[in-house]
Amino acid sequence: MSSNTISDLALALRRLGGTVTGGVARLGYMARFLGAILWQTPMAFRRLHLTVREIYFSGVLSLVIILMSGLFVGMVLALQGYEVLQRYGAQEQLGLVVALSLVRELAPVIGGLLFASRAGSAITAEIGLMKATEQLSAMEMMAVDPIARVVAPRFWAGVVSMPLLAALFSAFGIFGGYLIGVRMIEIDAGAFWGQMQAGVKVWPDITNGVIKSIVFGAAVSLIAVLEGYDAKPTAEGVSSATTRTVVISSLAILALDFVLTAFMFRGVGI
Amino acid sequence: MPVAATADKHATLSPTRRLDPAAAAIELNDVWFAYDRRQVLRGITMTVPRGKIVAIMGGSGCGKTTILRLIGGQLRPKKGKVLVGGQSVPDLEPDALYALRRKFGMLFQFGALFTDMTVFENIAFPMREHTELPESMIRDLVLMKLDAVGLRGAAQLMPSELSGGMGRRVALARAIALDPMLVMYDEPFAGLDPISLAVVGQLIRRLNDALGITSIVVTHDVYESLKIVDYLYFVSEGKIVASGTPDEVRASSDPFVRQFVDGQPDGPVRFHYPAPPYHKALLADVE
Repeated sequence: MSSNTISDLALALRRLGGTVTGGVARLGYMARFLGAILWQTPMAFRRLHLTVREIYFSGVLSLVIILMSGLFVGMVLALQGYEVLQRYGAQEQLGLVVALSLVRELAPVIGGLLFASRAGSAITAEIGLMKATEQLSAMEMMAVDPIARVVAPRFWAGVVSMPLLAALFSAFGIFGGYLIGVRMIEIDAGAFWGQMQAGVKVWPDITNGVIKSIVFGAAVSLIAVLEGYDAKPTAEGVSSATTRTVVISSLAILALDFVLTAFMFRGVGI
Repeated sequence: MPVAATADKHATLSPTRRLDPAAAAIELNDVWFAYDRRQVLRGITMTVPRGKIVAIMGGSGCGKTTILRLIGGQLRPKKGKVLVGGQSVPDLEPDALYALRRKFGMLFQFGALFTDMTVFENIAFPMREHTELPESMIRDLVLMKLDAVGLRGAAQLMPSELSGGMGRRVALARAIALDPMLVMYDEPFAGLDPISLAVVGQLIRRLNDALGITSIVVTHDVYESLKIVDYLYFVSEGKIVASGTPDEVRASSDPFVRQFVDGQPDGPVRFHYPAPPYHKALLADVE
């Protein structure tokens, strides 16, 4: 083996090592940041109006995109579900299929992805710009901790908003399924609602969906506030931090969804 | 000849001369600081006496703002001591540092107003955070501060509706909102029209005298600062190259001070960033 090949191999190994240790260091930094947020949470909750205001910005202002997406996803589910179910003469199960798909999986995941792109990116951009314009520095110099005043309210607003948005996503999805299944295809309304009522359980179906949406809300919010707080204080830095928030949050939601699903349904014959 | 060496020749403007440390509100002793590999401060030693206004002057990028951030505890020196009221700032625990900062006011270079709050709320912010004052009293105090900078009528405007100079005056009102013991002004005169400039200069002097506070002014504005400050430090390439009272500065023949005060393009301070010869750069394509 020539010395050039050996040095190329050593360089590749060094780069791989650097990437791995960099990733581990970033995870450690993220854990410390989460620790700082939790530590400052009592201080942040003393000014509860700040968290309520952020719930409005993250949650209420995301309603339109969440509700419209839920409606259309439910309508598409009903069309696709009916096409398959009628092959087996089980079209009256349509309500159950639509509701289970939404509550267990689609509402937390699609809701989470939409939340990351609508609210997560806005949180990163806002905190990043506050950093670039020295507003966070000014707060520090006024003896006000930006983690307590700026970061923690946004984090908890995401954790609270996400399950509520996912629940509304499910509700509008089911309504969309009803419009297609009952109003358009004319499945019996009693069968549509009855099968749904009998088949959807609070535990595990609804509870697992809620747990997923809380976890996704926490993950997206943590990534969004961290990327904003850690952004380079330039226009380019804020822009790339916003992009990173959407990309990392989306991947985190999908990866966490797999892990959570594997744990939640491991006893149901998989 | 090195800049520091030229300054050493002048007895009245020695870079190493120090004010009485016993009366010091702030003391920096052989402070070194670097951003990654870029060395910014190289052994800064200075004293800011209690109740005085001290100006730090120097060219862009010479480390003036870094000195303020070291005093505020936002940066830690690589070497040397930073003492505020006898306390070593880099060694303070977070709670003690925040307790110290409650006695500070700082005017940032670009204002750093909170963009989601009105002018009124910006000034009320430190009062609401650190006091239990009733809202009616906060209102009166905010209006008094705004009146002092001539912007009482702008109380309900958002920062995006202010001009650069107005924003700076609002930031000044916020910096003095809690009548701090130490105020650090980072370029307080930049972007102000001549009337506002004179008013803000006099306001800094009046506040200092009336409240007995200590002030540090980082500025390029030689003439305005000579009118209001008690002492000046000149910083170049991370070192203090000259210091003195306004009268000493006016009378000084120190080449650095003269170049800075008279705005001469040639002198110990280079206008151009280090680069290869101009003709070589222009003829690089031809060759």
